[in-house]
Amino acid sequence: MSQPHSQAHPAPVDRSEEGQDFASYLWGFVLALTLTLAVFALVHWHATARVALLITLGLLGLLQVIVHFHFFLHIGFRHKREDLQLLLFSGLLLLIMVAGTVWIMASLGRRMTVPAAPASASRSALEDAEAAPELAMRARPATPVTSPPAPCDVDRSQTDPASVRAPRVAHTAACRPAAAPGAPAR
Amino acid sequence: MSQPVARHPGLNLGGAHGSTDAAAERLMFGFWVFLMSDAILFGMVFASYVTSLDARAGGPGPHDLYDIRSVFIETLLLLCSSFTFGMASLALKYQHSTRRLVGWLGVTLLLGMGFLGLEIHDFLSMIAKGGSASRSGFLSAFFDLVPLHGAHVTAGCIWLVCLVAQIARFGVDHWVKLGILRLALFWHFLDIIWIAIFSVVYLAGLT
Repeated sequence: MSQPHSQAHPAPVDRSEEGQDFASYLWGFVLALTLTLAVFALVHWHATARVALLITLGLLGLLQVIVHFHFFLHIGFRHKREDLQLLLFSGLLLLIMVAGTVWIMASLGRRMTVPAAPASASRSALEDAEAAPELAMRARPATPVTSPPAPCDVDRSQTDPASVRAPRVAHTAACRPAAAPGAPAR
Repeated sequence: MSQPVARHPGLNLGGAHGSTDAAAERLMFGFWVFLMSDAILFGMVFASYVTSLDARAGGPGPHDLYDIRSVFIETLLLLCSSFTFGMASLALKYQHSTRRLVGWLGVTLLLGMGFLGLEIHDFLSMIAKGGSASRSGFLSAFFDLVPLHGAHVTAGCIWLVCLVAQIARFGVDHWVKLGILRLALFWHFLDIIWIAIFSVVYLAGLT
């Protein structure tokens, strides 16, 4: 800090590593370019089925992120400070928050969907059964609406089959749902 | 790894740069912490985008709005700019002529501005097709996520212009070197965010 100008340092430039450093950027560029071309080509020509394509996209994208971190940002295992640990910890936080958000909001979106017609109620019950095993277990007994009244105010309003799906407050442990979702529509 | 123990993320200047190399360790670590927090911010905006994918409200979807060719060119521009910034970092580290350093920085700036121009063109053509941010929740989330990255690139371009002006005024001194090191980190980081954007938003949207 006391010597702000590089001219003040007589230490000669060590050019022995220049080729190595250049190779790092060049390799990074070539690998990243290859991966980019691969994913765009896969999507452009619809190479595989959608789910397989999405998984491939995710894996190749992750690979390209690693390539960038390694070759452009020079992140490795030998750092004086905790650069890599910080990156991995941020990655873990991101994974928890992003995956958790997407999971919760998708589940909520499914549960909040009001069926347009009574006929679609059985369809959404099937979807629920596929998506959430814990819901499927509840759906199996197919308790009729007139079965033992649940100790929960919300369920009192559920005599109308069309409104059964809407107030799902009955998810709390204290209130046992009077009817399985969608079951009374039949 | 060229050095046994790296002081900081990005290209390490090495002992030939004396006190600048020593000062870089602390500054670059701080900047790295900022970048990680920025990554968290981007991650949450990504989550809100993925959550809003089906909230189209009858409006246009990815297939109606996205242009894969344009996104492909943008991706190549940004990737090339990452490489040219790497060349600028090398010119800085190995103390090549200032002209060479400024030249690579200039090429990087042009590529970055080309990216921005193409991206703005994309946004305008989306809006012309009826895909403005107020059309649906999906489009609000899109115009939250992608222009956020564009704003970062804009900030990077302004920073780059400022650094070139500093070089013109002060030469390649201590603070200019530290600025270039941090901008390099920022620039490569934005390219990584772009990988996530073209994978999650554009390519996954067009499958």
